[in-house]
Amino acid sequence: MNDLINGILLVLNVKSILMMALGAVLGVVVGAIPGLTGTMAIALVLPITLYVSPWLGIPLILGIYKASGWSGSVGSILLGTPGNAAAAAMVLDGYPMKQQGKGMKALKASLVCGVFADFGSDIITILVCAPLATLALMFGPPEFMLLIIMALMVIASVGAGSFWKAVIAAALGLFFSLVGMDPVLSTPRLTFGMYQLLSGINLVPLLIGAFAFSEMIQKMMNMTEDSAVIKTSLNPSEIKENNSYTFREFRSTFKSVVRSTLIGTWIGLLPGIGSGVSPWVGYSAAKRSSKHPEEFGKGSLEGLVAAQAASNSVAGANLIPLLSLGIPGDTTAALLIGVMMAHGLIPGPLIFDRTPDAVYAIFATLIICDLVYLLVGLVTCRVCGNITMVRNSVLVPIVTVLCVIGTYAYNKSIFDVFVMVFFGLLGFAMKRNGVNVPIFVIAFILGSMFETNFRQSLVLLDGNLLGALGRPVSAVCALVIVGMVISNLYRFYRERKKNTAEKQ
Amino acid sequence: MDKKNMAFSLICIAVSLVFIFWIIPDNVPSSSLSGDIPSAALPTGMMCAVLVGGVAVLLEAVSGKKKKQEDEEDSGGEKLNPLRFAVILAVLIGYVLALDNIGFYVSTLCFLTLGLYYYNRPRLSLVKTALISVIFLACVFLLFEKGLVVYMPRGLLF
Repeated sequence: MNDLINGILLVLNVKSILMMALGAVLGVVVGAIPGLTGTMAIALVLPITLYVSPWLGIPLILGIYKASGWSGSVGSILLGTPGNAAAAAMVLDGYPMKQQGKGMKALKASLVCGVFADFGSDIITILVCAPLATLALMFGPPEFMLLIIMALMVIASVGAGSFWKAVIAAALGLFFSLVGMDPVLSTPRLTFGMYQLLSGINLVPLLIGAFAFSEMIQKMMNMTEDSAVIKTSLNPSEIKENNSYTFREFRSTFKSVVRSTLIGTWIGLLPGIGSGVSPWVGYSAAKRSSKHPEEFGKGSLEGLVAAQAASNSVAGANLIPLLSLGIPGDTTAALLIGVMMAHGLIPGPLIFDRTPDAVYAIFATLIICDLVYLLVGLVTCRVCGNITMVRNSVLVPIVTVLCVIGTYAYNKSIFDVFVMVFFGLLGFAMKRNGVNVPIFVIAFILGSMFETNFRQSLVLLDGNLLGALGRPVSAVCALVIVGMVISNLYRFYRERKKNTAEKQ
Repeated sequence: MDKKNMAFSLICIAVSLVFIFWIIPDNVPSSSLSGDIPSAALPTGMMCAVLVGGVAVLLEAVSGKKKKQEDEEDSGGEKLNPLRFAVILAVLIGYVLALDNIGFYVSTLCFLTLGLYYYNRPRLSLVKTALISVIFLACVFLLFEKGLVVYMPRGLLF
């Protein structure tokens, strides 16, 4: 009980709440601008959080994360252009609602239902994390080794893009994590004589390079005229009820919102699938069970809130594998792990024993953030239209400089800036070739954990890794891995057969 | 035949072979402790995985697998203009080199002014872009040097 109270008190103060509000404002602004994402904002802000207490930095990042999950829908509703991949489903009903003069209602409905779903998913996260961590304490090195491989295989199979390209991305991520000193022999490995690489490649330059800088290179390459200058207005409708979202309307869509919350939470729990898929699943589930499915796609409030709720509820659940197993399930969890580790908080099953107040502080932050970004969202609803008018041609040079500043500020090293540029170019090349960048980053983060557990497993099992199959959890993980490989080989064989038949 | 994926897979195969047979043996000690794997084992294993992935993508490309899924995710749909890419790369690397040698504020002022001017012609004049850059750098100075006590690199100039 003491740890719970101490944890809550860590974030229940004016400074932390102001940081949540600042994060929410940043998240709304960045998420609303087409082409910019919350992930990018978090990557840029991350180095700054290292200079402040973790209980100012983590609330800031979670504020950005949660608010950008909603504000991506601003572009979907007002412009018909989603602010991020997850917001694409909100175009179907959000934009028609705006065209019917119900733009303000659509924004408020998506905000309120998004916050409700976020809150629901946070509660489930709080209830599930601790028991899962207790279970994970029974895991040994073979279990963790296979769990990491399984997580990467799941991301590769289910995530966007080709499976084999995802394997390449994961292998590259693991490869780069091996640069530095061999943990057993203490000899330099792949440092090419550079002393700066003896401690390995730093995470922050890699994150900023892969997520933010690569995006800026892409925009510089493709920017001929500014496509972000699309005039849009959100003038209040003359009909009062088109500007408000009533409790009655919320009640009428309550079942869809709850269903979508559970769908999004389940999807968020599985590593790598992310918020791109959940809105579509939530939307189609709502359409199937709706009394008026014919209204979907033509400005249905139920369709909009179902998609939004499924999208937002992924956020809290993404932290379940992070906190209980130490395995980041998506890009933001990967960024959060960087902040936590920099402040001496090691996510994983032992965090519940070693620093339980930190865990409760994170839980409290999740809940308080929901309320904060609801208030910020309600206030900024009216000006959202202006935010979308910010030109990419102005933002891109500025964000590029911010990437350099953020990277330099992390370690005050120009070498890190070069590392950031390198991974920016690598990320750009990956995106151009349809290679999954998040899996590359997640594999990099898990690389050292994987190597440690792999080598410990060899010692434990006297060099015979097949002995791991005698342990129940390892056997299940191994079965899933083999199943995925077989299913992807079968898919490849089937596609090849189909192509041959089509050619004939 | 999918030429783009073929080129990508051939590059992956070439890079992985270079690492497996040349770079890793030269840059990773071959020693190991008894009961443990050699230091080069995991890097070699990862490059083998890249090799296998490259071969698989090559087979898919050669067999003419329809690019439906990759077309959706491949956000680099527009053709790469090599000259534009080379210029952007040169400017970015030049800027990073100038940070330490010339100084952060002078090099960033030049980079930002020219970048904003180039991408916003004729809406923003050189004077306006310089003004935006100065205001931006003033904010950076206040936040980082005065606020967080993080000093940006000083080269020959400021």
